[in-house]
Amino acid sequence: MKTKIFLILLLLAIIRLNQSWAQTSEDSIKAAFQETKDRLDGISENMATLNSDVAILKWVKISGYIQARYEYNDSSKNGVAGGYDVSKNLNANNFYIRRGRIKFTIQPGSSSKYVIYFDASKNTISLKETYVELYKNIGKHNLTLTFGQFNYPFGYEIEYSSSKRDFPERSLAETNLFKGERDRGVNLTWALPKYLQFNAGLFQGYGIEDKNFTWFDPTKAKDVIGRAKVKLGMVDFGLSGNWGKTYLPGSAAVSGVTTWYDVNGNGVIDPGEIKTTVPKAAVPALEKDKIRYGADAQVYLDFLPLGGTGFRGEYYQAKDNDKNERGWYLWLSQNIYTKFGAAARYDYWDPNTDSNAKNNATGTLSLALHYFWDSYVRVTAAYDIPHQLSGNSIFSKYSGDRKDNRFTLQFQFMF
Amino acid sequence: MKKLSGKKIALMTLIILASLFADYFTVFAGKAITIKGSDTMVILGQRWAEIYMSQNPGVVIQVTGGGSGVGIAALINGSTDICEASRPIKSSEIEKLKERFNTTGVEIPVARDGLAVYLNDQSKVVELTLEQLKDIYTGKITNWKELGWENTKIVLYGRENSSGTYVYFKDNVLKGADFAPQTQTLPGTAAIVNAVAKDKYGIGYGGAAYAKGVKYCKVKKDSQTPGYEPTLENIKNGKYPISRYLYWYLRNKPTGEIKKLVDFVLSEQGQQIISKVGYFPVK
Repeated sequence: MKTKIFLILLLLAIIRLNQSWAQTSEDSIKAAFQETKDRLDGISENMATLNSDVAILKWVKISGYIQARYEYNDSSKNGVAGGYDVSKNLNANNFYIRRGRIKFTIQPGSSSKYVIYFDASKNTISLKETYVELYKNIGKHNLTLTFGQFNYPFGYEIEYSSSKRDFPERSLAETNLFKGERDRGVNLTWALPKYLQFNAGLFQGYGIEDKNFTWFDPTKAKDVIGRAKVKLGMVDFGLSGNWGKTYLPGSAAVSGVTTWYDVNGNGVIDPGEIKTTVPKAAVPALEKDKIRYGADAQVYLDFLPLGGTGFRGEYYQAKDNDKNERGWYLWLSQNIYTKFGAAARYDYWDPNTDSNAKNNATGTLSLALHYFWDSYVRVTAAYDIPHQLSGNSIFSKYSGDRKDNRFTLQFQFMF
Repeated sequence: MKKLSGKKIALMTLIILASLFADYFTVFAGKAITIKGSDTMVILGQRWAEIYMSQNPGVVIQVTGGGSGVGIAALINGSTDICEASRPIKSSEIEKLKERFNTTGVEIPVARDGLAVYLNDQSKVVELTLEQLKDIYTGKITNWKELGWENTKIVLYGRENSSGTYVYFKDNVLKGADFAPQTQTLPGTAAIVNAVAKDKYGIGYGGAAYAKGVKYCKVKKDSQTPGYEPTLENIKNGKYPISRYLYWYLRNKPTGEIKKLVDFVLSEQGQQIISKVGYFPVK
């Protein structure tokens, strides 16, 4: 009997002990599971932080291009005309960096963007653009407000990147009327993206490359610039206008003075020893109307098996300081499969349409051939043939036309 | 020594350039056709390519993904012949084509797709309205409890912004609003399906053809209408609210071998392949 009781007690003790072990084992598994879960939660939190940090990097986009050039000019001579003044250099055969651009675009969401854009070329670094853009979409209507320093919303050529253009430089009309292509101001764009776009803006009016008014506007009124663009698929066209003021600095009054200088010291007024300064009235500073109109059209055709064919044309009519100016160009561009492209342009510029002078206007025929090395590199060989035109003719060459044809070989890397 | 004139230098340069790269004028002489773009369309593109190549020995077609945006960028920079895109080309992208290739491009709708919303098999949520989907993906609704299930955080899976699926979802479901920052971006629809399949509380979106190991969430236009799955019938009759065209984009009107390939894709045989892959024919 005693043995039976002992065995029962022993069995009960073993069961209790086993239960205790099982409990301990289950507890330890639970603890280990909890620890693993906590660690995984920690990793998930770290991943979320990492993801948001990486997402910030995605806000920033860096792009740019470099154009390394050799130019050969028929007008080149050895030496310099004005001592070591580079601007008076007689030689125009040079290797140089025409454009070295880098752009930083920061866009955290779809409602705003910030851009800063630099150029490092020749021997300077300059700020080309910096602006803030705000976006608002109302249905299919897109509104964009741009504030800062950016392209004039005028015409086709200005917004067309130099990295894509077939020719080394823009037309003469554009380069004369809109130096630097950019200005400081504000612009509102309303667009139905596939069909229509309207721009209206206020600008300083002197651009970023004016020598006298580098950052300030001498006139209180701002330039108004507007543009309407219509897209019809194969055909696009636009109309632009710019209304502003040009400031002409005045001069102080000059009083009349008569002076005698006894050159030979004989105490007698000899001929030539008296000098008289003619008095001049003060000339007040003036504000003159500045008016520019533009019309442009682009046609894209896909009828040759070689590749796309583009026709582009633009017309400028301007009035500056009571002087009427006119310019236009016609530009034909042909893709030759994916690796080659060829283009021709005739560019006309008359800086004073009221003048009938024989060398007043210029007509430039430009030819270009491209080879696309890869997705980033374009090699361009271009030849410009400028003619001083006879009278108001648009083609007829002036007999005393300068020898100033120019050959350009350019390697461009773009990213 | 006689000095070279500018004209002579220009002529010599042109001759040298032309002779150096003359081989590029022999277009498509044994050259592979490249197709690049939408991850949603990779499998479809590969099936078309496999069958076309088996029927046309000597033709080589390379199909790769990367996203619709990547494909369109490749079309613009000349590194692909055909772009597959699960969204229409943007106006800004057409402008780039005009600048580089003097063309507005050629758009060919090749298939239709229902943009599916994936849930884990264990999810108790069955259907969502477009408004609820928008609120979930913009971060307004963050817990499954708000949708009648467990008190647990919703885990969002989405595509990278180079993806046409991303753009389509953002434009048509989020109505242009930004995705919630906690959305985990994954490289491809297959990766999203895989993530949702492993995550009980996950939600994702992508092409209907990929839904293996996950369940479709029924989508309702609004709270008053019934929910529908992205089936052929529902997409064809317009009941499923998130459907789209899938496109091929070319730079120019197709000629030669590319035209033959396009004709094949739009043929009865090509359109049958679409159904087998899980998308919907356009013809």
